[in-house]
This record gives sequence, structure tokens and C-alpha cells, in this order.
Amino acid sequence: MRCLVVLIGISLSAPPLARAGVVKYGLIAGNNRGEPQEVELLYAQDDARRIARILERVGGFRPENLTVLAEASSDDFRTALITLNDRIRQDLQNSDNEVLLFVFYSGHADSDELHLGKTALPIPELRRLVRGSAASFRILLLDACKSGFLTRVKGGRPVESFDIQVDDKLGTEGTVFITSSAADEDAQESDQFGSSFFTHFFTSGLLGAADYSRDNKVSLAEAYRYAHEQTVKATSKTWAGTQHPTFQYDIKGKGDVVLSDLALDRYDKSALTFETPGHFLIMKNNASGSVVAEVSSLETNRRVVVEPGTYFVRERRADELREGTVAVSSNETTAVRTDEFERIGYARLVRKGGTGRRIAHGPQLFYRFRGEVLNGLGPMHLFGVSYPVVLPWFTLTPRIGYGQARAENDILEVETREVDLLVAATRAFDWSRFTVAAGLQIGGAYWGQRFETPGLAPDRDAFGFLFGGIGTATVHLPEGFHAEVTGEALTYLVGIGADREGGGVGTALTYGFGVSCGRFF
Amino acid sequence: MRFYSAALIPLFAFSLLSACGDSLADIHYKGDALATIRGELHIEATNRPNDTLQVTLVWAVEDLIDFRVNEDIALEGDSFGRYEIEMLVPPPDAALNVDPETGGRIGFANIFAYDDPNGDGPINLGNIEAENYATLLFRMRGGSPNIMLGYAKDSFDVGTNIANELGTALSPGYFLVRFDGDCYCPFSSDPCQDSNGQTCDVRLDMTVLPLDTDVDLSLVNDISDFEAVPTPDWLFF
Repeated sequence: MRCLVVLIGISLSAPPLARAGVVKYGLIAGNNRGEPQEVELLYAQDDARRIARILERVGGFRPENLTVLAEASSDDFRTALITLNDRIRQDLQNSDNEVLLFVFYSGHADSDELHLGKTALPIPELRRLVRGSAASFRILLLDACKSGFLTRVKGGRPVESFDIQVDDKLGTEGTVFITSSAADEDAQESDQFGSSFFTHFFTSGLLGAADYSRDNKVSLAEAYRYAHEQTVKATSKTWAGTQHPTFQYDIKGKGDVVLSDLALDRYDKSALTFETPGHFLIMKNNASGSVVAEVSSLETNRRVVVEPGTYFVRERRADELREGTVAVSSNETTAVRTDEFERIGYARLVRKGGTGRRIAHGPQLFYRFRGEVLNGLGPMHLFGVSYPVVLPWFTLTPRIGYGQARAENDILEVETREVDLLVAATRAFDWSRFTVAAGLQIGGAYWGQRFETPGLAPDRDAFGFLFGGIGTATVHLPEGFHAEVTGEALTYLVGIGADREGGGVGTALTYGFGVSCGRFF
Repeated sequence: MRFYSAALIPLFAFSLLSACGDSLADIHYKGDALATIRGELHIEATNRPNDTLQVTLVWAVEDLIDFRVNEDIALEGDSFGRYEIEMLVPPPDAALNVDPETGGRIGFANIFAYDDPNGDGPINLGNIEAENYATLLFRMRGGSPNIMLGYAKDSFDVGTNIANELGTALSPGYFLVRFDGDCYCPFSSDPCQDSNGQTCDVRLDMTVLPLDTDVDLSLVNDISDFEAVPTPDWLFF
């Protein structure tokens, strides 16, 4: 559990400035460790570094104006902020620049103070330091648990989006506070994203996912709207419960605050363009790479800036996943066409999650070669139908099979026909296009024995109980088709004896293997 | 609990079915016995028989050397007190004779005890053909003096010669028949003769016995000492 607070404060109390350049200063801090009794976070410092990198790249922050702190104490944080404020004052004294101050903290906190390791920074003091800055825009962003307490006290409330009528001409004043969670909620980290939920979506938004207006600029309102929507959606599926970002602001003026300019990329103009609406997860290099951004868009041609390189893109659809790799060259925009991607089979999709699909099922035809059940009766060739039902954690596969075998001794020939009905419960593990599964199965069987003899051998009808282990290996084919090989070990409990009605129940161990093919729907 | 209860239902169902169904026969099952011949061994010989003593059926056909052996059964136990032969199949057609009157097929077999000292397994037709009759006789240690096993492949109704001789109609299947007396009268006009070739006038009496009748076997030192009832040659047609 991550206890993070996101507080974005924009204080626009400075008097209107001349329309010179806008200089952006940032203090970015991340602390994985809080108070001794608090669980160490995994991604707070990574989040801070990611925020800094994105702000530098598309936010218009010069590297020399960004101060990044990791595992800092409250004194370190306080000193860094005061130093930034001094620089801002000097800048304003020496130029007609307008200044934006962006303060970000990711780490532990409670309703009263930030927990910077074993030290604490009272939030009221932090607010005063930010408000006291001479910067025209003052943005404070905190990421920790129960941060909504701040906005609640100050009149903040959870909202899906807001419209800050402030433009980048800075002719306005006011204050905004945004938190990643409500006052009584925990903020959560995601191992899948390698980040906190809110920061993951906030940074994705800054990279272009939140460019609702499609003007190649992401405003504060757009970034918050995107982060809010996606955080609520994503955390609604977690056991910790839904996380509701909140905000509170006090500003005057009109326009909007542009947090990132996608055309401003300081180093490169590389980007991915998603031609179709959808939900896309972008990872660096391959499927196990770090998550770069997540794009959820109802519109076509959503553009996300990325660094040149190779990216693994996963599109989540209601009924399938599409995965593929795209290469992004320097200063080029690469179109992502998921029609050309590998489509993940339905069964894998259920196990993988993330699409809302909770079940996959479909018929299979199978052939099985099974060793003899009783001494000398010979192996059996079974044909039949199965119907696997794939659930997120296991697969249930009922099957019915029919087979027959012939054997003979010096007196008679016996034909044994078998109908068996089993249910297997297996746990599957996916690797690329392959799935292996292992589990248990249980069922019953009917045997009919017919004898050819010059003597006397009445027909027999026997019933038995069987159970055992089963293992499968599956290769997934297009359109939900799949082929599978199976191995199994079975124990039969059945009446055995030369006396048709007087045999005792005995056990028979045997094995089997087979092939099957089918399709999931 | 509801889930576990539901899961147990098929378990109980299959268990019940296992109890209700027939047993499954394995490859050793050779069928149910059409007839079971059992009885006691009377050890009259001074030489105790070897442990390799076996009981066999020798089907009587016209050429006596052409033995038709149905099955050899090893005797179990030390006492040789009792034996049992399960007849799982009918005799081969070659062991049967065709009744010229009805065209029905019927056969009779002597029940012999024989020794298998070299342990070369049961006697079968191939083995016997490879041996001479004397060797086979040398192996004989005794048999039933007056009871033969019969097999009717077809029915013999009342009024037929076979039914008249046996004193009863025959349905298809195995039967036991006891021969009493020492005077045989052939169907031909030839006179009746006893075992010494002397003319006699008392017919050999044949009685069909229930299949569960004990057929006792007498063991002798020398097979020539074994006195069996004369086999009527009409059996060979």
C-alpha cells in the first residue's frame, strides 16, 4: 500500500506581469521511506525522477531550474524550496519573465505533515512556503495517503474535471490544491505500472494522453481530468478500493495553465500516434519493460511523445488483447496500428486480466491414447468432446470420451467399450503463444464388455470412479483457435473379477496422452 | 459447504454405480464354465503319482490314436484327493462324430489322469501326433472306469437311436454318461459281445447323469491294469 498525496496548488497571487518569457522552476522530491513504522514504498523516488524527466522534456523546465531530491530530510526539502524562491525573486528582479513554480512530493504523509524519512515537514508550512514564493504560478503536487484531508479542510472535493480559467499569459491569480486521494482513502502503488496510480496517469497525460483538445498542449485541467478518470477506473478493481483524487483552487482570471507542450520537446520530436480510439499501455523495449505511458482515448490519432527506441504496446479490448512492438526513430512520429499486432487468445486474456473479460469457453475435440486399465485388456483409443471454461485463476474442463479396445486369450476375444465423464481443474501459466497447465481431474466411467467365444461369456456392464493428475500444453492460434497436447495419470476404482457379479472393487493405475483442438468464444 | 456438498454428489453416485455394476473382466477371464467335471482320485497304485499328474479328456473318435484333447488341468495339492475341470468351450468339431440317422453331431471323451514327468506342458493334439501311442499310454496313470463326458452339438429327440441308447433325449451341451455292464450290442446285425469277444445277450446299459455327479478316477501302476468299460464302437459311427 502506498500512502501518497498529490496536491497540486496553484497560487496566482502575484500581480499581473509583463508578457515576457515564462520561466519554470521545479522542486521534485520522492521518499520511499517514511516513519519507521511505515512500510517502505517501492516507486516514490522513481515517480519523482519520472516527473522531472517529463517536465524537462515537454514541460518547458530547464534542467538547471529543476531540483530533484531523493530520500531528502525535511530540512533538505525546506532549504531547497527556499533556495528556489530566492532564485525566482532574483529572476523577477532582473527580468520581465513570468515564473511558474512546480513542487512535487511523492512519499508518506498524514493529514498534518509529510514524512520525509524520520523527519516531518508540516503541510501548513509547506503551503506557506509555496504561497510565499514570488512565482506567478505556484504549483504544489503531493502524493500520499489521506491527502484529501487538505482539500477537505480547505473546501476541496472530488471532481472529475475542472476548468481553470487561467492561461499562460499569467494575468490571473489564485490557488489550486489537488490530491490523489480523498481524506479517508489510501493512495495506491501499482506493480504493473511501477508507479503510483495517480502519478502514472498524470505523467501519461502530460506525455499526450490527456490532450483532449488535440492542440498538442496538455493543460492542468486536461492532465487532472485524465489522471482522475483513469485513477478512479483502475483503482476500482483493487482490493484497497477506489481512489478519488480531489482538488481545491482559488484563482482569478481566464485561460488555462499549460503543463506540457508536445511540440516543445527539448531533445527530440519522437512520438507515437494511436490511429484508433482505445486503451493502450506503452512499455519500454518489451512486455516486461517499464511502463512509459497509458493512453485511454475515445478519439483517433491521440499522440504521445516518447524517446526514440523500441516500445511494446498492448491494446486492451473488451474481448482481446493486441500486443506488438513498434520502433520509434528520432524526430519521427510512428503510427501504431494494432490491426497488425498479435491478438491474445481469449483464454490468456481471462487469465491476464485488464480487459473486463472474466470467462472464456468453447468446445474441443480430442483424441486420447490411454494405457490399459486391466491386465491384458490393452490400451484404448478415446475420442470425445470437452468444454473448457477458463476463469481468471483456474480452468474447469468437463469432458466426455468414448473408446474401445480389443484383446484376446486362447479362448475368447473381448471387446471393451468405455465412456468416461471427467471434470478437470487446472491452473495455467502463459508464455507468449503457449500455455502450460497442470491440475487434477475426477470423474466416472462406464465399461461395456462383449465377448466372442465358442463358450459362454455373458456381456458385462461395469461402472467405475476415476481420478488423477493432468497436464496440458497449448499453442494459441488466430481467431481463438488452439491446439493442445495432454498427459495424464489416472487411478480407476472399479469392480474387478472373473465372476461377473462377485468381483471386488480394485484399483488400476494407468496413463494417457492425447491431442485436442478447439476454439474459445 | 454447499459447494463441497455438490461436489460430493457425483462421487457418491459413481461409488454407488461401482457397487451396482458388473465386475470388469481382465485378460485371464476365459468365460463361464459350460460344465464342471469334478471328482476324487483313488490312489490304488503302489507307486505314488508324481506331482506332475494331470487330468485330461481324450475324445473318442474312430482312429483312437487321433486323440482330441480338450484341456489339461494340473491338479493342486498334495493329496490328489479331488480334481476339477471347467469346460469353458465345446470340443472341437474333429472330436465329434456325425450321427448317420439324424446328422446331429455328438462326442464322448474318456477322462484320464496322465503323468507329465518331463514337464513339457499339457498334451495337445500336436504333441500327441508327434508321439506314438505307446508313449502316450505310458503316460496314462488311470481314469474313470465307467463314466464318460459327452457333448451334443445338436439336439437328439426322443425316438432317435441316440436317445434310445442313452435313455433320454439330449439338448445341446455337455452331459455325463455312465456305462454299466460288459455286453455291447452294435446297431448292425452282428451279435452282442462282451469285452472278451464272447457273445452275450445283456445290453450295455448307458445312463445320462447330472453334470454335478462326481466322476472318480482310479490310478494304477500300469495302464494295462486299468480296466475301463468297453467303449461301444457305435460311438464312432
